[in-house]
Amino acid sequence: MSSLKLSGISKCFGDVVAASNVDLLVNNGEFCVLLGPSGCGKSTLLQIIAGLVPQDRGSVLMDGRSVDEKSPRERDVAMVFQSYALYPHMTVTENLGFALRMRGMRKDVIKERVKQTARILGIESLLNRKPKQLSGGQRQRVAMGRALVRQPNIFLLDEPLSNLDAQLRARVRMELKKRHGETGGTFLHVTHDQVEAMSLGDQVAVMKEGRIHQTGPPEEIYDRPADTFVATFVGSPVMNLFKGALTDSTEGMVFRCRDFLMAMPHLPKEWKNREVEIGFRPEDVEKGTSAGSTIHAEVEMVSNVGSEKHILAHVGNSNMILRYEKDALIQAGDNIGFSVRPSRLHVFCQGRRMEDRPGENGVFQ
Amino acid sequence: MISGFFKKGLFLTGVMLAIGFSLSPFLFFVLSAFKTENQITAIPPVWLPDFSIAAFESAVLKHHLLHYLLNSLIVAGSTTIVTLSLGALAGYALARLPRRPARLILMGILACAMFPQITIAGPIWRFLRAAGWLNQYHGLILPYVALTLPLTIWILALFFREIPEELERAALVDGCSRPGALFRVILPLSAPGLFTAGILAFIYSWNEFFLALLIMTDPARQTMPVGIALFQGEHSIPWGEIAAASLITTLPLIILVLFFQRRIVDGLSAGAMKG
Repeated sequence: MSSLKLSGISKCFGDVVAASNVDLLVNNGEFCVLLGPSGCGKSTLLQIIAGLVPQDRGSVLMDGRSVDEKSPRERDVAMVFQSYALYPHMTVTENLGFALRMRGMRKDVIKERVKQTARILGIESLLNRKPKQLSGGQRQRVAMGRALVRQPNIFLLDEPLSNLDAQLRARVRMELKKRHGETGGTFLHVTHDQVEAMSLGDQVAVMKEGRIHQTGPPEEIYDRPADTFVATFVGSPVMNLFKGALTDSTEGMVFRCRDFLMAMPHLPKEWKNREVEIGFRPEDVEKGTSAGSTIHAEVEMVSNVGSEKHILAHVGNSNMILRYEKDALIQAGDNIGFSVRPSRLHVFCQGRRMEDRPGENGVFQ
Repeated sequence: MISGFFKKGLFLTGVMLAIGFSLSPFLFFVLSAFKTENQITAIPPVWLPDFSIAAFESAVLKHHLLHYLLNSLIVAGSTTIVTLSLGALAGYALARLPRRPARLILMGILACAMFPQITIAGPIWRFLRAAGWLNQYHGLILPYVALTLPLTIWILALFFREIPEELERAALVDGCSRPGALFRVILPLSAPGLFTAGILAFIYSWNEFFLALLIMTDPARQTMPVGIALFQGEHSIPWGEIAAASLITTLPLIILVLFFQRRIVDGLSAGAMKG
């Protein structure tokens, strides 16, 4: 097992920027998730790490040593591909043992390791089948097994769960987490599924258009998004964002947008007259009209997702989504009042998060 | 309904005519091979033969047919092996090059295959004479490889391109070198393409007449088509033996194609992907 460090990785395909000055550190034994919309360069980054695609600039380091000149074989990483990439002409046994054979391990050792891996993944009964005789879920298991049978420096997983149906995906996700605990390996997992990212990752790196926007533990990504992209990409339903300006009043700072006002007494005076975006998550509202600053909105639509209700409401032309408990009695056309605790508000200026801690007034994170 | 039936009938008739048209000379030869000397020259022609095997006997014993057959096997077999080996390497490289340069090179290769044989026959002969390779197996194999290689490269390059690149990447990550990935993963999956290209190269070098006649003047090294052509003596044309020999020449090709047909159509790469 090794640590992995990317330092200033850049890669272009013609005009398309797949990676732009990417820095990333994955500690030994850590589970890191690269999260981003499709086409943001996540897979390319994995291939650069594996040595399958050369980077234009920057360096890949394993255990602090550069592996830029090394072939995929010498880098000794295991990879699970999105398409699984099982060898169709080999049985499951041969698929699992292929990497071990290529590394010249003894036959009886290979046999033992393959058997053990198959037992862990519950695919012992499939060992003599060819990939085309397997279901999607079984193929996925074999693909995982092909990585887990080895003891590589780093496990690279390229959206390995994206082709599974929702139920199976949730189960395999749990299992993957368990396997990580057992192997103690260094994992870098690529996904566009935020639930996957939040539930699996010790660290999550959010990526868009070849750039990493924020790296941190899942809680930090969720509670303190570094910019409006991270704020809206992570979280479901999405964070409500409103464009407006900060003004000064006798009771402290006030956020003013086209349709409503919101008192923001905790913000420093120096920020007045700034164009900002404020955001709050759908679950961070306090229903009722008791609190100091109250917004009155009209309910447009109620969507019941079973465990809770999502309320689409609007104040003037500003739309917002709010999360209510499942037995809340709310219908379209109702008027509702709510307020947001100042500590739950996110303030962004020019798309970047503004630090609201005292002493760091106006400093951009 | 009626027009549909009519259409179907028309289609079937067309197919039958095409098949009959292509097969009738062959059928005529098959029948001739089993006729006796008198039946062949009889006027009006005799349609159904006596199924005499005299012609076969004479072709094999008197005209040393098996000897020509062996020469043909050596030349066509070697040509196929060499062409496939070179074609696989070139085709793989071309399949993985960026599209535009690969296209240019493929076009260049195709252009090489456009020269009429007669224009290259002279240079080839002079080259082989200078090298002392006339009347040598490799003297014939070399031009055959050169002539079959373009099509082989085309077929294999297009075939390799269809094989998902992720399979090859998986092989590299699993510890293969590039040639290792080619031989252990790409080639086994390309079996249908290899068979197709191989059979085409084999058929070409099995049937080729002009260069064989030019290069192999020594009867000990002549291939089947040349051997059969030289059956005729000064005063007679032994049609029966020629027909019998032609039939024997065709059989290996038919067997080859029938035998590998299943493998050609088999979807060997099924199951690699999520499917």
